[in-house]
Amino acid sequence: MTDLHLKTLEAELSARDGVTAGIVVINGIFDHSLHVPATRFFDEVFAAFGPYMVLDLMGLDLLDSRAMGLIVTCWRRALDEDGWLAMVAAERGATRILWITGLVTRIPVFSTVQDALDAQPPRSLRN
Amino acid sequence: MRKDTILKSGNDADLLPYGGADVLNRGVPAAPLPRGQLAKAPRTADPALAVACGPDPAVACGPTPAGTADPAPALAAGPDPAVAAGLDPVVAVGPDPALAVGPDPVLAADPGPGPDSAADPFHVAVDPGLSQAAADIQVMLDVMPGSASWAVPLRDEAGTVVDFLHLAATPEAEDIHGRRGAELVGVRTRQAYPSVVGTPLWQAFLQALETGETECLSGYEHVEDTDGVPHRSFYSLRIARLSGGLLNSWTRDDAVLRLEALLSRTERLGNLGWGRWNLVTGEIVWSSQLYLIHGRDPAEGPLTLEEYSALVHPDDLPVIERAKSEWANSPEPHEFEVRVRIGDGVRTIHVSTEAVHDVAGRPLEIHGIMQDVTDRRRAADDLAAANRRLEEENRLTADLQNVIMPVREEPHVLPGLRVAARYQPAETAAYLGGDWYQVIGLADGDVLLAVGDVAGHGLAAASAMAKLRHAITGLAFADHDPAQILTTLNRLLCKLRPDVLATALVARYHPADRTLRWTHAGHPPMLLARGTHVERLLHPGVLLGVFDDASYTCGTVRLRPDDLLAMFTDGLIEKRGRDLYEGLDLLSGALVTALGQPSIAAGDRLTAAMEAVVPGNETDDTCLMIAQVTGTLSPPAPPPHVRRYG
Repeated sequence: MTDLHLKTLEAELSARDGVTAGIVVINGIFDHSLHVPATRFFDEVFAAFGPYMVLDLMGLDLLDSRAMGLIVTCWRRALDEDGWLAMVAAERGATRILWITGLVTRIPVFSTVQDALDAQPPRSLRN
Repeated sequence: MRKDTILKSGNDADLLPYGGADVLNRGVPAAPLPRGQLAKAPRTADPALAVACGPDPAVACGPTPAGTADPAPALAAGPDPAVAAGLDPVVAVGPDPALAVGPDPVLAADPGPGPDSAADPFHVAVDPGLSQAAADIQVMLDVMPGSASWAVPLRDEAGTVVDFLHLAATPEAEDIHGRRGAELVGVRTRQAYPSVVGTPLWQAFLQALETGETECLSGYEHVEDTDGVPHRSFYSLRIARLSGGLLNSWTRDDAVLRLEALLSRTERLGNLGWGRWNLVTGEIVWSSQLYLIHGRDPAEGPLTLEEYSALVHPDDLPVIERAKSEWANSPEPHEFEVRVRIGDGVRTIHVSTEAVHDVAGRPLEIHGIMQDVTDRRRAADDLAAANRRLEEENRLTADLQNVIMPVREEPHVLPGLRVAARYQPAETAAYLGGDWYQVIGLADGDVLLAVGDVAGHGLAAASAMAKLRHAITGLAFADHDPAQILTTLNRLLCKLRPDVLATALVARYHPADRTLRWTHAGHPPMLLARGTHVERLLHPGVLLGVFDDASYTCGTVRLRPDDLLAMFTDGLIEKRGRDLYEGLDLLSGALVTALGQPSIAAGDRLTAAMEAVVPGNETDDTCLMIAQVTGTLSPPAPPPHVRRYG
C-alpha cells in the first residue's frame, strides 16, 4: 500500500500501513494553518487504510485547538464507520493539551505505536 | 531537425580533376594497388602524429615523426590519430566500411605492402599528389580568415564515399568540439561528428563532390550528443569541390539564431510582442507574437494607429490620446493600458512605448512592446476581491468582538471584586477569532466570571463565541451553577453546532462569603495569587461540543481580600515547542515578581498584575481577566423567583 505524505514549512504528516491500522505520524506545528491540507490528507488516509488509525503525536511542537478539532473529527468518523482511532502521546509538551481538554478521557492514548496496535480491539467491536 | 535551405552555385573554375585512376595511382610505389583495394601500409614508428606531406619538404608544417617509412617530411596531424599520407585517397577499409571509423584509425604513409599492413585493415593511403595539394591548400588557408578546411573523400572497396579526411584548415577554423586550426587536420568527419551522416550537410558534401557544384547551407542545425546530452548548434556553410577534395567554409550562426529563439520564446512566454511605427514613412512592423496577441493574420499586415484606436474600448480612448501627446512631446518612455476588442472578447493590453525624435524634437518613430495582461489582471482582480471580502470579514469580526467585549480601560467594579480584562487580538487580522471573556454582576448579587475559546478564527468563530457567551450569561442569570451551565451548554453545542469545539472556564463568585465555585471545560487552569504566592486552580472537565453525554462538577475555594484570580485563554501561555505548563509557570513567576515589588500597595496589585502579564503567542488572540477581591459584602436579598443553588 502506498505511503502518504504531506510536508509544509512547519509540519510533516505521513501515513503508512501498520497491517491492522493506518499509522499516521504528525511532526512539527499542527495548527489552524494546516486545516485544509490536513483535512484532505486525512481523507486520503481513510481511503487508503480505512477507519482504523493510530495517530502518533509524539513529534509535535504545537497542537492548537483547531488541529485538535481535526483529530476529534477523525475520531468521530472512525467510530461512525465502525472503526477505531487511538493516539500516541505524552502528558507533557505540546500534547499536554490533550489532557487539559479531557480528550484522553474518551480517545484511547498510548505511549508507543506498538502499544496502540497491540491494544486494537477486534474489528467487529467498537472502542 | 529544422528544414535547411540549400543553395547551389556553380564553381567550376575551382574544380580540379579527381577520382580517375591515373590521378589516384600517380606515384604509386613499387607494387601499386588497384583502386578500391586496401592500401596496406606499415605503421610509422611514431604513428601518433604522422601525415606524409609529399615530396616538397618546404611545406612541412609540423614536427617530423621519427622513423617514418617514407623519407618525405611529415605533416603534423594534430591530436587526432596518426595520419600518414599515402598514394590513394580511396580508402579500402575491409568488408565493413563502418569499421573504418574505428576508435583509433591509423593513417600511415604507404611504402608499399608490408607485413604489418596485412594485420591492420584500418589504414588510409593518400595520393602524394593530393598530399602536395594538401600542402598547397594549407599554405593558402594559413592566410585566410574565418573557418575553413579542406577534406578528401574516403571510399570503401565499392567506391562509395564513407568518410572525409581533413587535410588542411585555416588557423581560425573551429569545430563543434573546440578543435582549432591544425587540430582539425587528420580529423575524419564521421568519426568526429557521428550524427552528421544523413543530415543536409552530409548530403551537401556528397552532392558537391559528385556534381562539382558549390553547395550552400544556411541555418544548418547540428545536434551532437556529448555524454548523452544533445548539444545544438547552427551553421552557415559553403562546400566547394577543390583539388579532388572539398573546401568547406563555415560560420557559426548560434549567436544570432539563439538571440532570435530567445526573443521568440520570451515573447511567447510573456505573451508580448514588439512593434515599430515609422511616423515619416508610415511603415509599421509587428513581431509575429503581436499578430497572435491581436488574433490577426500576418498576411493582413499590422494595424495602423487609427485602426487600432477603433478597437480600443471607448472609455480608454483618452488614454490613447494622452499617449499620442506624450509621443509628440517627450522622448521618455510612456506606459499605458487599454482594453481592446479582439475576436469576441475584450483583452487588456499593457503598452510600453518610446518615441524617437529628430533634432528638431519631432517624433520620427515609435517603438513599443505590447503585452496581453488580461489573465494577470483578472487574477489580480479576483485576488483583490478576495482580499476585500477578507478585510470585510475581519472588520466585521473586529466589530463583533468590540460589540461583545467593548474595550474598557477602567476595571469593572462589582460586588466584592474589581475586575480588569484585556483582549489582545492576533497580530494577523485573519486570525481574529473565538477568544472571549465575560464579567457581570448577577441578579442575586453574585458575579459571573468566565473566559473561553472557540476553535478556529474569523467570522464563524466570532459568531459562535458570541452565542456561547450569551448562553453562559443567560444560564448564569437563570441561577445555574457553573457545572450546570457547562453541562447544558455542551449538550446544546453537540446538538446545534457539532462543528464547533470550545473550551471555557466558568466561575461564580459569592461575595457574601467570598466563595468561588468554578468548572473547567477543557480549559487551562487559572491562577490564584495570594500575597506573593501563586498557585494553579483546576477542576478539570472535557472540552465542549465533543461528547454529548459529558457532565461537569464544580470546584470551590474561599478567597481572601486582595487575592487575585487570573483567568485567560491559551494564547497567553502557548508557545511552539513548549509545554503549556511551562508557560503557566512562567506566567506564575511573572506574577510573583510583580506582586513582590515593595512599592506595590494593595490597591496597585491589580494594575501590577495586568502589566506583568504579556502573551506568549502573538499569532493567536488572547483574553486575560484578573479579578481582585475587595472585601466581604452582604448579599442583597434575592428576588422571590431566584432559587439559590448549592
